[in-house]
Amino acid sequence: MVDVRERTGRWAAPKVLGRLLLGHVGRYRDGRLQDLATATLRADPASRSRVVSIVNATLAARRWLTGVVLLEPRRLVSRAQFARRARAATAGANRLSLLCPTRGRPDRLAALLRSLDRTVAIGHRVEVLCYADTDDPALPAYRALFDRAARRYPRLDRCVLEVGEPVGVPTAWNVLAAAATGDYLLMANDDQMYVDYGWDVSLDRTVAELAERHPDRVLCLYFDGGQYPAGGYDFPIVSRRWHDTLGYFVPTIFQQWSAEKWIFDLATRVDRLFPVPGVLVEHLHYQDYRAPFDATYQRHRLTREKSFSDQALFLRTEPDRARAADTLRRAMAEPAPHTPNGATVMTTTDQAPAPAGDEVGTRSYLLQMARRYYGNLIDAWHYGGRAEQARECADLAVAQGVWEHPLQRAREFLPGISATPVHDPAGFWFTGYLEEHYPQIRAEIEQVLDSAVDPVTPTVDDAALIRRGQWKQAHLFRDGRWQDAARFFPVTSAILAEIPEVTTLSPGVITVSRVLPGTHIMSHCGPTNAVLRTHLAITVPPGVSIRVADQVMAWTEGRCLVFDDSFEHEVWHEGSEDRVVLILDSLHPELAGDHQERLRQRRLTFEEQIVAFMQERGVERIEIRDGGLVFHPDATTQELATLYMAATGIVGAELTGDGVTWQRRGGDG
Amino acid sequence: MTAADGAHGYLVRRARVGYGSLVDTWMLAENEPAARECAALAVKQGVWPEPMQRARDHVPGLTARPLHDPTGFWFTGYLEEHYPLIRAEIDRVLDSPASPVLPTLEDGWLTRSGSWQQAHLFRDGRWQDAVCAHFPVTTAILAEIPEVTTLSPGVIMISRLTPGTRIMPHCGSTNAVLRIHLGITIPAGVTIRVADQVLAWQEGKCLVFDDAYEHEVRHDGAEDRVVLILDMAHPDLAGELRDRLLARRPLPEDRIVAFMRERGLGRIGIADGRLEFAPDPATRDRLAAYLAGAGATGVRLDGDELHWQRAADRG
Repeated sequence: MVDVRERTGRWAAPKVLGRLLLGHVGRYRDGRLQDLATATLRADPASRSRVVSIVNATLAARRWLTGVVLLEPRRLVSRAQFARRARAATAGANRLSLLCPTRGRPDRLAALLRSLDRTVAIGHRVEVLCYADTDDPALPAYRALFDRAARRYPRLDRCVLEVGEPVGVPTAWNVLAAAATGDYLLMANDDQMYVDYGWDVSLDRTVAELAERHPDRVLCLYFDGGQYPAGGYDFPIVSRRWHDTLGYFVPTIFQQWSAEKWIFDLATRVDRLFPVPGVLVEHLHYQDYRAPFDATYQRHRLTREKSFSDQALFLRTEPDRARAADTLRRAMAEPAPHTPNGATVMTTTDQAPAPAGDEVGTRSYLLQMARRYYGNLIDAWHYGGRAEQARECADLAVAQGVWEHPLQRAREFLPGISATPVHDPAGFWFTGYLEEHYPQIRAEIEQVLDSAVDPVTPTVDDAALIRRGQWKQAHLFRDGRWQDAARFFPVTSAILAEIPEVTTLSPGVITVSRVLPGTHIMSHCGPTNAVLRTHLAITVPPGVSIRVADQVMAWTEGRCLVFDDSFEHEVWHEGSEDRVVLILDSLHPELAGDHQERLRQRRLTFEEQIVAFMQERGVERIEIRDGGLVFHPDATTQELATLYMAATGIVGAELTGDGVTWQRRGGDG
Repeated sequence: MTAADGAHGYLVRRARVGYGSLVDTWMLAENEPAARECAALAVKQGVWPEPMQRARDHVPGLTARPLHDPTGFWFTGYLEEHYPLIRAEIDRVLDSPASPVLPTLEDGWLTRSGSWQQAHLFRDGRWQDAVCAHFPVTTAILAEIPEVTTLSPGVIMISRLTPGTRIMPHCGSTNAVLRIHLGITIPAGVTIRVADQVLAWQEGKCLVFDDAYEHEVRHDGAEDRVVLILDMAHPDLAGELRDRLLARRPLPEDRIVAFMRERGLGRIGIADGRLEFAPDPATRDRLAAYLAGAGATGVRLDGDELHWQRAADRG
């Protein structure tokens, strides 16, 4: 990382300025300059020098100049030539949807809309769908822009502003794709500018040519105005059939531009990537010295860590892309369902696909019940130290098809995901990152432990697993949210916040776990095999070990251990000092990414759990109300409770720990 | 098992509950072979002495046999003697519109098909006055039998099965209680299996069995089957042991607490005239995870079908 403060100090400022200004010449814009520019521009306003304003001023001037000298003349020329080109065009007009998330740049978006309005040859077939965040200070300006859009951009069919939570660019693209009505979906950004007149007809023509060869209409395209070096492309365009086959526009797991790379990778795999030649769409991005730096770029925070994290995630999700490509190939094997040319195919805006038929198989929930009861039974044997009995039960469960392996007994069990007790940490990019930051994490945790406000307290959730000794925990993250305890660990939390796999994408917890000498945590299995568990060892005295399935291991300070905690595991502490580890959950890699089938299966498993849950309790309806859950009992259960209550004159009851608070008729609590 | 080993006792009790639920689950799934395999393993592991007698609350050392000779109990003769009076009253009440014999609330999950109706005259050591009011003659006759009333650890109830009913194989909760059936109305084609013996009731005759043994009922007849069910302490239990059994009879408040604990409820109460439950924190967390996993904000169960409620469209 570049230390900005140092570089922008009084000493370095002129040098930095010079270096940045040199970037206006293409051949000086190498990777190191990018780093320097990014770091300089991103520095706190307080520590920013005039360097930024000077560089930004030159960038703004350059953008204006580019527009006047290059782009506008090019548009005029293309317009003049269009009449000739259009005669050759015989294709029908497709409906086109541009999908454009935006933030803090109503003026840039207005420029994009204007460029579209001025370059589209066939009116009333382009819709522009934009997504703005509810917390965007520029929201009123956006609303004003869209109120006037129909009048100001008359050649566009409609401009729609979706306003929603700040969900991130990829999710916003998907939201817009779901609302789009076009035959082709075009990825767009507010710093783009359409230059060549009649790009829409060029697209029609390319598509018409391809339709003869590929009647299945599974297509991915990009505009190629000759601006790319060999093999480069940007801003994918996908057909309706492509989108509906995959069920999404872009994957949402990435923070940066790997989303585009994903689409192009799929297109290359199925050999369906085609340029729309002769169409220039400018991308006015500051990294190419085409736009000044602004708050929106600041917000995206293209840091190297994130870039590496995305890259690692991209590599790791290769199997997911292979499967997605298979899905596309299957669609390619059959012709597209007939839709009248230009007709719109409506899609639902419901993001969560409904489970098949909105119902689950009649009795598969009983298998979930069997898993739970086997789990209880085996836990009882382990609790009593009867490993042999536990094993007999596990073997029988496997023989009966309840689980696949006697040592892997998740109550929420997804069949068919690869099951390995211990995983190689090197397969997860963030283990290296965690180990790199181990000294800071350790220093902070040590400082908090034993302080007056130490939030690491005896576990409540897992107390039943302790056979001897003491186990203390603090959850920094759980239920998809940072917890109160996190504020005691600001450094650690900031480090962890850079790892989407264990935070925004995490299905589990981040926990500081402290085990005292003499502790024995009995053999047990985690609740689900959909999650892998990473331990970053903080303080590990000798004499502490963990068994996972049949492997007994020791932690090493500063190193990560990745294991599947749905396999039976057990911890002994025969040492003399506390053992501390940082526990982090991440989704099983085969479930990560937009893997529709697996996610669907997981949802089905959840559904079976819910059916079992409700059946057993006689609950007919569950709803979230006022942030809490309310159960509505079925008629039988209601009568039963009424019967019990009638015998006592009680109209309400509340369990509080070991006690009960009765509410009796007459209303006195 | 050594009597001194309290920890072992606790462990085996937990195992009985675990096995009990597991076997019930397989029976619910109509997978009897799997249920039998589990029962066999439980016996091998010393959880129960025999695979057919699987009470969750098992008192070791009691004489264990599925059927007991009715003549060993004085009151079976007394009941059979008064059968005509009892039957006349029950027949009359069952035909009346105000019959308190209603679909079972507690045992409904055992009913695979048809309908099982019950009315409790006695439970938890107390007469159930609202029901008894319908059966004054029967109540007066039963009041003469301390074994099934003041000294009873169980219930007295009228049990009616409609034609076509199947009650799945199951075990009673304890072997410390024997169960007496006085056959009131017995059409042809109705059988009860207790362990490996298939029996038919006879009108006006008593059947005494240990309902801790697996039993099931099939009604292939054409008319309702009605029996009067009475519980008594196992005759091996005397003195202090029986007193302890009786002392364990729950208070109505205990039933409410058990009802809530079984279902993971933290609070029950009435809102807008309807009963509502709120889950305890552990149950709430588990359920919240399921709902989040299914991407739902609410759910309704209709038979075995789930209907989702999802977040309203983006605003």
